[in-house]
Amino acid sequence: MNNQKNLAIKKILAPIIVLAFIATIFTGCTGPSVTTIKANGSSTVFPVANKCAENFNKQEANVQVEVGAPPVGSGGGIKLLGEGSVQIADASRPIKQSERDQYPNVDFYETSIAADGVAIIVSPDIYDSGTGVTGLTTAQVRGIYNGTITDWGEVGGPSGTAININERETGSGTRDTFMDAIFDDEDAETQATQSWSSNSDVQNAVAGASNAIGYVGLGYVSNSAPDITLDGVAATEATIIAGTYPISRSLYMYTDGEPTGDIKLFIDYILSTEGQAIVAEEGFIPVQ
Amino acid sequence: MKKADIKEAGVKYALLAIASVSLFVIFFIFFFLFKESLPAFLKLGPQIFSTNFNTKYGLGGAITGSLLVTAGALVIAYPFGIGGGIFISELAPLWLRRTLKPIIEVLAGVPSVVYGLIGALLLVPFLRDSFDMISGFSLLAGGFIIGAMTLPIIISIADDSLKAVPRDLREASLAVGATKWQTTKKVTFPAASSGIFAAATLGIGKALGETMAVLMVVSAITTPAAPWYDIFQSNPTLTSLIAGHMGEAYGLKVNVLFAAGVFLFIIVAFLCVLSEIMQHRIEKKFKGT
Repeated sequence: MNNQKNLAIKKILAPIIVLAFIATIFTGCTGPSVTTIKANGSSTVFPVANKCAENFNKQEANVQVEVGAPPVGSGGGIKLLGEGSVQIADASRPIKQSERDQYPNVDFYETSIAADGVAIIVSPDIYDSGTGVTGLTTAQVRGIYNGTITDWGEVGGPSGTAININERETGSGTRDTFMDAIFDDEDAETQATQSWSSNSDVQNAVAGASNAIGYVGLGYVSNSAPDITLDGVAATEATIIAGTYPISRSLYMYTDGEPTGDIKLFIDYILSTEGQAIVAEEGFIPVQ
Repeated sequence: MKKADIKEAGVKYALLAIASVSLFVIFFIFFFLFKESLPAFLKLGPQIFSTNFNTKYGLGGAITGSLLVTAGALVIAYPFGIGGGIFISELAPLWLRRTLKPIIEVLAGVPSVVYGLIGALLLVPFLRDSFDMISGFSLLAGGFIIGAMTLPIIISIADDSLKAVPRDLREASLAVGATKWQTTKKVTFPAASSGIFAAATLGIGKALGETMAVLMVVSAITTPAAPWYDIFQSNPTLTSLIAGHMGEAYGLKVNVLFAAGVFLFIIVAFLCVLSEIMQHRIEKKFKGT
């Protein structure tokens, strides 16, 4: 009697389970005409791209934008666009000629989505210390990063404190912008103590130390790692737009050819008032 | 009868197919690795051992970095790991073993990112203050964290191998008058040696291949420390180079990163073979033929 009961349950249960499995396999299939646009690249642009994608996806039923995380860096994004793995490459620096040459079949079209500056940040202890370092000159920053200045005492900070130098990894748009402005040479060698693969890593490293210096995109400046003036100019919206802050740059999105169709919808969203409000919210400067 | 035969043959060949697929995948990985790294070895030649990665694509700095971090990790993991395994299996009272074993197995399953996070938030500042380092991010921190990560696995496997030694061996030894420690040292441990060496090999593989935690406590630096043996500084490792640069590398750099993978493979294979040889030596010594 029990056996019959078990058999009956098995006969009903088994098909149900099998059908359930088959059904879950098909949940991956979305309805007709939903296109996915993939974006990836700069970690500086990432918060803007991500937030805009979230809002855009809520508004648009037929187009969904996926921003790759963790971001692979400006160089990485351009490479993915060249290979066709993404449709939008986020970059915090202009594309290099060598990159254009690497992918001759791709017509890299540049759209500027925000203005930004690279701020120099220091640990709170250095900023607030007795003599306090609230500003440096380009020459001093260069000296620190190429190892000729090794003690905070030489630039007005607490003496006898070694300088903990943080930089970004090669391939980072933020690094290229910084190196271009301070060394006039993107590929110069530095004597940095640590290299990091994202703005937030640099910010954390500088905030968590008592003797550190680093550089991040404007949107990553916070009270936990205050920014200093460079050649007497603070990194603010006004100075960056006016061009008086030495390390200003634009944030870009690259596409294969001029954006059309669904890609154009997303780029237009970012350039709209709503998108530019998100840009401002994340600490960057809306395109003028 | 025929039906049963068919079924048995069917199962046999199905399993053969599955096993072949996995073997095929492994060989394909090796083949792809060597094929992709060949242009790097051919074009760069001995330059691949130089210490400058940025301009010369030299992996010398990363190789020493990986070896130093692994050595540091194993210096912590081996003595404490095997000692811990012996303690839990031979010397601990039952209630202690019952509490410790599950805890250690949970620790063995904790993802490496978590260890990296603990390392970055707790270990690095601690090292910075204790050793008066500039920042605390260093190969030393890497060695500590990877050692801590590998420890639970070695303890667990060592304990399992020791427990697997048949009771007769232990009891025979005790019956002829040996003490508990003499039994452990001369009878149980050598009998479990193959398992313990397997644990040791696993530890090497894990320590050498650890990427995420290394990136978090050593950073993604590409310029090697000066001097090369200074473990109080950051240094590139083969894994941090691959993870840090694969995203944006193209052309020869990709081949060089694959070459870094080949170096990792060679080092692990070499240490595994060494471990096998030592294991045979010990077995030969204690088991007779």
